[in-house]
Amino acid sequence: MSTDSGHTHSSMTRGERVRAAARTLRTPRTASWVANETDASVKTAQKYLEQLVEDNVLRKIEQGDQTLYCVDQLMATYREVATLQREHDREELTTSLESMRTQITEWKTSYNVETPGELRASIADLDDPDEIETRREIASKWEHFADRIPIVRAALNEYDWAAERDALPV
Amino acid sequence: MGLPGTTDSSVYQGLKDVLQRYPVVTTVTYKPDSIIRESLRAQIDPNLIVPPTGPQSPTFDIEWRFVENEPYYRIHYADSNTGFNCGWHRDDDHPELGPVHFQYHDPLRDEQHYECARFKKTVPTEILWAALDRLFEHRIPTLTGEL
Repeated sequence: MSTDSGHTHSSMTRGERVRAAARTLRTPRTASWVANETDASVKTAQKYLEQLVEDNVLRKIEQGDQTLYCVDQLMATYREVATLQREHDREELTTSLESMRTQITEWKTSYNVETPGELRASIADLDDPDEIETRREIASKWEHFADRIPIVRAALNEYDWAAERDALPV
Repeated sequence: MGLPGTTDSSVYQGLKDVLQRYPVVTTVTYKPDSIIRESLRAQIDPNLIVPPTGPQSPTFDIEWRFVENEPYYRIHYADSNTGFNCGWHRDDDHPELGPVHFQYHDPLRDEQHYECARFKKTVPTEILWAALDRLFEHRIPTLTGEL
């Protein structure tokens, strides 16, 4: 069994490790939990977590006598919308949106279901392991597309307005 | 088998950050593209790994999914120059080896191997750091060294 050497970790400072780890916090965690995970001191973890709160990357939640941190999903989504607007033209976003929608329509028709949950539920009646695996994988992909579609649509909705705001001053 | 669960592309921001800072990594991109974001792919400089390989850049793929808060992941290296590939997988493919296993396949030596593996940390970025260190400092030099 391999062990964690930690050797190359030195190429990333403790602060950078805390910052990278903090961006994956789906569940609210304390500074001491983050410190333990990143081999940083609680003081160092707290310093960087607080900076990320100020930068609107993390949200701070007071729960009883504990302070917890997690990713600010609303701000993360806004940033992602802006990134899509900046990195892709309208046609690319539209093509991608249409392709995800078409794919979902095809799955609905092929499996005669309306939601990925229904597709997962249909697995219970099957014996063929390959078909079970195919449906499980499609349900996961469908759920992922359902997450992505509103973000891409949001990027398209205000595309011109965003492009105008993003223009460099001449 | 594919990974169970659903992709949470927000986790990829931190993982991308780690990959971009790792010395042998040249570029990091989303797959199938940066709009859909199902997984991450890093291109590896073939001259910077030990032993060197080439001329094509090996790839390092990362996929992270969740069933509620339970993580499932695949961290996989593949060298198209030699066909060698290996990685750490947390999935349901080898329950006899525990939640995480390491596997490699080396067509040149006709070897295929699976073993149980473990990471001390649970946060995705620290698991990735540990996997990168193990891969480039230990696994590749040992498994693909002198025949």
